[in-house]
Amino acid sequence: MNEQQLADLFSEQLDRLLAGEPTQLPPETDDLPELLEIIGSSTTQTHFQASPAAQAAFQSQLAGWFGLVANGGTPMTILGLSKIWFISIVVAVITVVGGAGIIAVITTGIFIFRGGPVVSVPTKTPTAQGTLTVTASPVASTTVTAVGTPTVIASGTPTATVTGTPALPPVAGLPPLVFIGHFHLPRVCAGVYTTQSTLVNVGSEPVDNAALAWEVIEGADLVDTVGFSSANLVSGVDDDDDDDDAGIDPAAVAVTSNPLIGAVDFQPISVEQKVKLDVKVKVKDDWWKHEGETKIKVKLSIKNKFDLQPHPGHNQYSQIITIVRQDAQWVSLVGFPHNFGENRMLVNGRIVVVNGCTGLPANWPPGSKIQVVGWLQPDGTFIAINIIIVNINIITGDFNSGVPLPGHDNDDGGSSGGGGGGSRGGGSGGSKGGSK
Amino acid sequence: MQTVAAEDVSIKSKEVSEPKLDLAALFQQYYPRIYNYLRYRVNSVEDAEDLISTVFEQAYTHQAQFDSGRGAFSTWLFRIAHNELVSYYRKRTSRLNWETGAEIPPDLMTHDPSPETQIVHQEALVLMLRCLEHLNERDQEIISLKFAGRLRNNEISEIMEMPEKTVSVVLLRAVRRLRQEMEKEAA
Repeated sequence: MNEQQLADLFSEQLDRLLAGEPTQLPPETDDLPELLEIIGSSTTQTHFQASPAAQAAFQSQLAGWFGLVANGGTPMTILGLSKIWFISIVVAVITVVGGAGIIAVITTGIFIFRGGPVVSVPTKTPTAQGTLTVTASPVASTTVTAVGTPTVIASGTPTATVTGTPALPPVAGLPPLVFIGHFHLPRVCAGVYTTQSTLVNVGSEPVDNAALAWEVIEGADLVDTVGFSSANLVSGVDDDDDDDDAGIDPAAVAVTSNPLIGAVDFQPISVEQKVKLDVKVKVKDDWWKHEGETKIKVKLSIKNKFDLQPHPGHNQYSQIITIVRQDAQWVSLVGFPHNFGENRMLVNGRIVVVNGCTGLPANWPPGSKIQVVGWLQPDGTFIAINIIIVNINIITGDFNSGVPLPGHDNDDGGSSGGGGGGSRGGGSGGSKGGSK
Repeated sequence: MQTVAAEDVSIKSKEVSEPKLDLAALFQQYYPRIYNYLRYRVNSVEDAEDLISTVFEQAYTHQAQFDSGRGAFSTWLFRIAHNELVSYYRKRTSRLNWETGAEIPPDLMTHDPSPETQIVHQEALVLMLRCLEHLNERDQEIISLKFAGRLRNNEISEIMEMPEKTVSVVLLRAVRRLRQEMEKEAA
C-alpha cells in the first residue's frame, strides 16, 4: 500500500471515527491504528464549548439579525423580506415622505411669518395651472395646500399662494440608524459588564435627530447604573453626584442616576458612518448572590429625539443586551481577609489575587467579613472579580496579621464546601454556601 | 417558502428554483464547530469569543456572496473563520499559546461521565494542542479543520486551496509529526 492509499484510508477511517462509527482497518496498515487511537480518542471525546454568556450573546445577535426567538424559533419575515430589509425599506419611504413634509412645513412657516403671500419665481416657463396637495405623513399630520396660478405670458411673474395650518411641533424624519455588527459579549471588570455595539446610518442623509434610549427590561433590581461610552453621544447627562462612572471615559459618557430608563441625544451622524457604542452595566452586590442563569436585559432603542418627551416614543431600532450570571465558572468564598503579600489575600485558606479589574467595596472597615467572587485558577488561587462586605464586625485584635481575638465571629468556613471543588464542579456550590 | 438545512446546500445546479437558506438555523448549527476550531488555534477564551462574533458578523454581512453552486455552506463559513484567524495572528505581536497556558481550560468539555476519565481526556487534548504548536502553520490548520471543525477532506481542500488527494497525504503526515512531538513531550 503506497502513501496515497494509506492517506486515503486514514482519512476515510478518521471520518468514521469522528462520526462516532467504528473503524474498519484491514491488516498491514502500517501505523494507522495507533494514530487513530492516540489522536482520535482525545479529539473525539473532548470539545471546547462557548460559555453560557457567549451563547446567550450569540442568540441575542441572531435575534437582532433575524428576529429569532431566543434559543431557536423561526426567522421573522415581513412580506417575504427579512426584518432588516423590511425596516430599511420602510425607513427609506418614511424619510422621503417625511422630507417632503418638512419642506412643506417650513414653506408654510415662512408664509405665516411674513404675513403675506409667497411669491415664487419659476425657473421654467409655466404651461399649466393647478392645485398641489402635499400631505406630510406619517411623521407630521400636516396638510398643506399650495395653489399656483401662474400667468401664462412670456414676461410675466407667476405667483403662488400657499395656505395651510402646520401642526406643531415640527417633527423631523426618523433616524435611519440600525444596529449592525454587534460585539455585545459582556466582559466583566470591577463589577461592570461591558459590551460593544456599532450603529450605522443606512440612510442617504446625515442624521441629526437621533437619540439613544435605554430601558432595563429584566433584572432591574440588580442594576446599579447603566452607562454608555461613545464619541457621538452628547455628554453631560451624568447627574449623579458620586462621580461614579465605573471606569468610563467622562469625555464621552452618558450615565443616568435612574438606571432603569433614560435617553441621550446623539451628535449628527453622517451617511454610512459607523458609531461605536460601549454599554456598561454596573451590577449591585446582590447580583453575585443570585443563582446561576440569572439574567439582566437592557434594551437599547434608537428614537427620534423629538419624540422622547414626555415619555419615549416608538421604538425604531433596538438591540437587547443580555447578561447572564454564570455560576459554572465562578466560585465565591466567604471569610475574613488576611494579608498575604502584595495584591494578595488569604481568605478561607485560599490565596485571592486582587488586580485592576477587581471590584472593591467603597467602604471597607477593618475586620469585615467579605465575600469574594472570582475565577478559580487550576493552581487553586482565586482571581477576584468582586469583593463584597458581608457584615461588619467590630473586633479587636492584630489587624495586620488578620487574626481576630477569640469569641468573635471567625467562621471562615462559610463556603467550605464550595471553593475546593474544581473550576466547574465546585463553582455553584461555593456560591451558595458562601452567601448563606 | 422552502428552506434547507446545512448539509443540503451544496447544490451544484442552480437551474431549478434555488432554495432559500435558513441562515439563522445554519449559524446556530455551525456555532459549536466554529468555536471548537477557533479554540484549537487560540488559547484564550475571550479572544475566541471575539473571533467567533466577528466570523458570524462577517458571514451575515457578506451572506450575498455565498454561492451554493460553488460549494457547501460549511466550506464558506470555515473559510471566513480561517481568514479571521489569519488576520488575528497578523495583528498580534505576541501570541498566547498553549505552551504558556498548559492547564485545563475552563471551556473544555468531555463526554465521558467519569471524572477520572474526563481528566485523562482533557489532559490528553491539552498535551496534543501544546504539541500542535510545534508543527508548521499548514499542519496546524489542517489538523484543526479536521479534528475540531469535523470537516471532510473535500471541504478542507476548498478552504486550503489544495487538491483533495493532497489533503489526505498532508493530513497523514501532519498527524505523524504530531505523534512524534507528543512522544517527545512525554519523554
